[in-house]
Amino acid sequence: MRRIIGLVLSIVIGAVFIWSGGVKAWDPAGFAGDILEYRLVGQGMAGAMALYLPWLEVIGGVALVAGRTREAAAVMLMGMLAGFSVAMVSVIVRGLEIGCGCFGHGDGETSPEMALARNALLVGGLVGILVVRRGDVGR
Amino acid sequence: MRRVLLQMLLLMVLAVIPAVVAGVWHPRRPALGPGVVADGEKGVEELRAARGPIVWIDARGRGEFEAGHVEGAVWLCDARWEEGLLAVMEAWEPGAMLVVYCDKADGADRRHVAGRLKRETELGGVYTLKGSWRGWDGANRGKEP
Repeated sequence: MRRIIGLVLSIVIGAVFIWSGGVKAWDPAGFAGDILEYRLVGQGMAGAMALYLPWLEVIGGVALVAGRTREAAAVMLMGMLAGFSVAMVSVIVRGLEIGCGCFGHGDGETSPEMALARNALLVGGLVGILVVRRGDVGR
Repeated sequence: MRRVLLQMLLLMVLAVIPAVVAGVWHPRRPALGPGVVADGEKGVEELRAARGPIVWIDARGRGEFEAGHVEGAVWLCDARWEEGLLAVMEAWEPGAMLVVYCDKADGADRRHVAGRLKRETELGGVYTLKGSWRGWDGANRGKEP
């Protein structure tokens, strides 16, 4: 039963990252614009991040679904979510009125607060995957 | 633990490959050089002496704009960009200067909006206001709260 829960969580969360990364990889210029709206980095860095981060999400999602790399992918994706969450908190603190852009350029409707809640949910799922995995290894 | 770290490193390196490919060939690849910035900064005295129309652009929050702004100013922010941009284009006329102001001491908001405006419209004469907008003659003649 634990293994099934772990597998289902991996597939669902992996699909979320593959989808969100794929949408942003499709339009990196739009995603760079979204990153710039956070006003944390300059245009050059925003461009580099817009090219790299979506693919890191896609590869992380695929690695989460694949059995052998699940732990590494879960830890890496948690790190990414932590980074995104810090950016969201800074948006809230500075009172910027922007959408999160988490699922591409068209995702202007998701507020930073909603995005933070979603990140917390995803981190919870990733922790669940790690717990199940460690349980399997310990047996 | 060591295995997990090595795998993480491998995943991060793997992601570099499609990122580089996208950076070279993607039709919608972003600019990696320095960004488009405003044409410069203008002080209140300089603007008073200027001939020709000025389109004032307010880069502050909606609440601050509604509490008072330069007379005739257009509100423009990231969250409602298309709507604000339409108003800017309606107010613009050939030869007009576009002057973006905000209340931030470091000028981050006005620089950001001016840069984006210039990048997306490719208009000339986009400036940021040096100092506070309250020094302008039309200040505080905005909509009543």
